[in-house]
Amino acid sequence: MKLPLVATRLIIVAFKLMVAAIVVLSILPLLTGGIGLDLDGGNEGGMTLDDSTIRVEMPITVRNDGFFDINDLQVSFIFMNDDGDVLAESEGEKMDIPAGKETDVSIEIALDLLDLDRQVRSDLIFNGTEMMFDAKISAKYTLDMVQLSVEAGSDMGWGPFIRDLQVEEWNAYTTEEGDDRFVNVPFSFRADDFLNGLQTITVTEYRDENGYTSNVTQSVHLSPQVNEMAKIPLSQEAYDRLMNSTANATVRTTLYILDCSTYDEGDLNMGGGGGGGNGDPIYDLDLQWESASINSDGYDHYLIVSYSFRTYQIYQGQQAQVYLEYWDTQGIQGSVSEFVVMWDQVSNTYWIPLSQDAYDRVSYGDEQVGIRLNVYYQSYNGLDEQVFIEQWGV
Amino acid sequence: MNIGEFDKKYFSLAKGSITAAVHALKYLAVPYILFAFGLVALSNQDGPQRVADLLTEMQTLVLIFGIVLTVLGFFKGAYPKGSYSRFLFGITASVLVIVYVFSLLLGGRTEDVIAQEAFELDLYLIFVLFFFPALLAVLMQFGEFADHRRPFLEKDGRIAVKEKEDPEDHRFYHDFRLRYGSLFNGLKLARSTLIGFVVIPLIVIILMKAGFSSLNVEEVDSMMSNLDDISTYMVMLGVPMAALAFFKGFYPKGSVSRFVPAVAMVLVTLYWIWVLGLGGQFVFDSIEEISINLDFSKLLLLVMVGTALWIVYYVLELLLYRPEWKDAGFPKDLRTKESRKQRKLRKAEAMVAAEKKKAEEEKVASEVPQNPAEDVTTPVQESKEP
Repeated sequence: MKLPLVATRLIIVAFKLMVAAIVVLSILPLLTGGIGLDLDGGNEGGMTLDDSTIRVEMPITVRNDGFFDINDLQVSFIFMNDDGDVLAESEGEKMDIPAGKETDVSIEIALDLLDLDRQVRSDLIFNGTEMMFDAKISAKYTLDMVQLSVEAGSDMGWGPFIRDLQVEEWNAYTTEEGDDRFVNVPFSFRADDFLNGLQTITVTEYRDENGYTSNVTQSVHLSPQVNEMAKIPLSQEAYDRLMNSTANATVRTTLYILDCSTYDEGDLNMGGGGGGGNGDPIYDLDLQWESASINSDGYDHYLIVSYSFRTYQIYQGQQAQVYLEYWDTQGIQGSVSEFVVMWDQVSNTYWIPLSQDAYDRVSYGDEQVGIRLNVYYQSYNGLDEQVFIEQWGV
Repeated sequence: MNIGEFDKKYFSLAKGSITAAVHALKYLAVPYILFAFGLVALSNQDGPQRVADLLTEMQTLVLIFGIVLTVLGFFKGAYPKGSYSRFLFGITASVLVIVYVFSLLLGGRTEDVIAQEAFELDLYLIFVLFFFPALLAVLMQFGEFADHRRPFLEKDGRIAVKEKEDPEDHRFYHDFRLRYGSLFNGLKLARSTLIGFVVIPLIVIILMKAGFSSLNVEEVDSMMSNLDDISTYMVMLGVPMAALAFFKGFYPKGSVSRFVPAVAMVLVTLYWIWVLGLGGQFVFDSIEEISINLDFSKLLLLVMVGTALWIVYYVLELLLYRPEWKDAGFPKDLRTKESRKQRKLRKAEAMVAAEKKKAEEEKVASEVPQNPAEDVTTPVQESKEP
């Protein structure tokens, strides 16, 4: 064969070998696990709110032990509703992963809430919703001659970010400051951690059946548990109607965030008894006489009795005085008094010391005995009293 | 038939031994050893007895056919190309190869055992694919006989040696004359092209489809459909490529008639690569909710550039071999092994002829008038004369 032809053949063979080498060097790391993702990075991903954009960041480590750089690695997301209409698109930044290195990259889902229409946004924030999304990962490899893109679709549950908005009308109370009259209505809600510190507006509106309205606007900083008090100014007439139970008033708290709103409302009834509307700090006061017992070691004698009550939220954390006294036909035989912190659920057991005579009477006699429980908080006095005969007689 | 061509004066023990050795290796030793390895592996792994029985039976067939083909190969190689004796042994051997392969199917038992042990594989379809190149191998014996008959007879002195063609009378389109072609070379190249571009890819596809079918998974349905499409393309492109390969091999190096199908073949090969490479796009979306798209079109184009370089090769081949072919009087490319002595002699003859021609031209030039103007015009006028 002639030399130029041999040379041409050699060039062709060399070229094909080069291409084959490129192909083999590209495929080999994939087969041997030289290219991989490590999702167990030390940094935890998190959700943040940047203006109106929710960003979910997921740090990953991309290991490229291959022979070629991975270029233009990009992760993008398309969010859709159930009908497949595109609601929002999020496109990550392009990144390069050099060969032979591990590179920490952050995959970011960015969802601008203002890209969503108001109804979808409102559902997302206050009710939570499922959104379909397509994730697309694309990258170039083998000297940019191979482009891989993987698309995966799935559902993703979002929110609710703000929930349990509750107007606690049963804890509402009135105050007088000089000539000014107010009704104080507590309200509460919960917000996702990532919304911490975000400032929102609440408007609490008072309305009675006479058409009187009044409202107060508050700036509220979001936190996982928000407890606020709306102090609504009232006219003297409205105040009077409220206090003598002729107002039939309602109170509504509306929360505004990202051009969406939600509200809760309740009826106010300040004049009558019962409920929290009359300013009682506690409810379900229960002296558990049925489970009471006496105890003696021959020298010391005790009556053991338990009680429980629940506290309206607004009064929780404050102190009340509990007074327990035991009496029989001979008079008061023992008592206990102490301050307790009012939590949602309060339950205590007390050992009331008894004299030998009192113990003997209740143990062996046919005595009528009774126990009285008083809970004092400011001007409030809660009472539960029970009387029995020969409760522990032989 | 001239029985005299079986005479021992044509017989070459050395050449016969070489061909017999090649046949023995191809049809006896390699298959026998492969089956023996299969049996050993099977016994080591306590494999099924029916497979062992099958392999033993095949080994027996290999022994029988292998020995016969070795003997036939010996006689085929011993007689010279173009002789009836070589033709007879050659064609018998090539037909027997078809029977040999068919007998290995064992009347469908091989297929049944494979189906029971692995997956359902259409061995008869694979045999049909094998049949076409095997048929070309039979035709190659005819081709070899036709190509070498005249040189054989010339060498034997039974016919006069054919005179060389005058290069001055030859135009480029004369390159397409059938008499310049070698049937054997054409059929051989067509056969290898058919095997490389149709038979092997189709067998791979048949094996892949059989494997995928055995998985019984819906996700591979679209891939199976793709394989069917690729099969169709392989046949649609492979058969014309084999036809082009025939003409490329048929005509000698340095001829336009070889260059044209060679370049056409490269172009079809480029398209073949593009089709087989799925146009550089691999889309896998059989798994629910996940779609994988691999765009390797640039890499595929690089492969195609490598293949396209063959066009440069064929251009060079045309330019480099054409003067040689012309000087040799446009002979057939019979690829006979020319000894160094013969080659030197041929070159020396060519040089002498060239010098003689040059001397004649110089002589003619010295006889023309001294006036340059007349020198230019007169021959032209003369050439226009009837």
